[in-house]
Amino acid sequence: MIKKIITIVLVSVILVTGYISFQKLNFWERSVMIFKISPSARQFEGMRGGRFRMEEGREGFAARQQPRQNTQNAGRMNIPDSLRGRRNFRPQNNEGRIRNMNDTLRAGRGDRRPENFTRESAAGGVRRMEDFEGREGRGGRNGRGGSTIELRNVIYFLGVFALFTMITIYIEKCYRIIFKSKKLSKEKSDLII
Amino acid sequence: MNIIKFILNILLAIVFLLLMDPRSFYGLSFHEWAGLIIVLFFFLHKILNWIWIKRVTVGFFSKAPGKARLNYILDILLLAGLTLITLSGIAISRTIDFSWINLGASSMFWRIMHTSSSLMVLALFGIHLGLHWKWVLVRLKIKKENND
Repeated sequence: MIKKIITIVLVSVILVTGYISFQKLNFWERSVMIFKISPSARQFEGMRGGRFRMEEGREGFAARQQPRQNTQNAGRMNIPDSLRGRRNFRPQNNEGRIRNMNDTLRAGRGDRRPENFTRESAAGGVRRMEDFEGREGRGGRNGRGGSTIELRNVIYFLGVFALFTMITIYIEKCYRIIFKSKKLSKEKSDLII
Repeated sequence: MNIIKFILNILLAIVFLLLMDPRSFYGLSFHEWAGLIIVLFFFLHKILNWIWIKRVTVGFFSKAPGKARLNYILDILLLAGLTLITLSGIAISRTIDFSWINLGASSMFWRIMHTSSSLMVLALFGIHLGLHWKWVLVRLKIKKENND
């Protein structure tokens, strides 16, 4: 009896954990994603942000940024000259604000002017390994982690794996029970005849 | 022999789960190298079960039982899935230089292929383990071996 109760509790835990993991990983949507894209596709319709949704490449990222820039430019074309002037003036105001910051804040913020962005490593969409040497942590969007171990996602995958195993075990059991009962009933009917 | 198979299978399952998220365990470098090495171990797994493969292949349409057929089809799907994972992994690899292999198609396509096929293979592995659960219980000495 105790063995049965333990089994029921274990199975319930696996089923619930598996279901939660399935939802968290967005398992179904990500599994069938391949059927919604063509080999030449550079942007995927169903692609959304988020860590578990999609690990998009640089091309996908660029393609997604482009329409946003276009809408911004279109909006800017319709505004009156006075407002446009104010918009153009804003960076200088911003510069003034930065100038008034104390040293610690300025250091924390960093100088964010576009001319100070030197992204040599991202040229042509290819990054070299030397750019990442000595970096700790999870490595940003490319997923190049350092020497870190964070097994939370692995536990989600384990949950889904266990769920599929459990479902298969019980389907097989059900099949055996049905098959056996059918066989028995056939034997009985043979005896009656 | 069964103990070697059992240990190999446990290791394969653990490493495969660790490979499911490239960020989780020592980053992308581990993911790519371990991913390549694990493929060799899958082949070793098949070699260790070569007698079964041969027997079912020969008698697939005649004397093989239904469960063996189901396992065989599942194994073929797993092999196809693993091939897709490996190919797409090669196409999108960043720490190992595979630039000399030109597989065509866009990087986006291979990336989606890699994610989708790995998730499908994970589900298939779950089913594979479920179908071999009795064997696992026998190896763990929870259940006695019988030939049904």
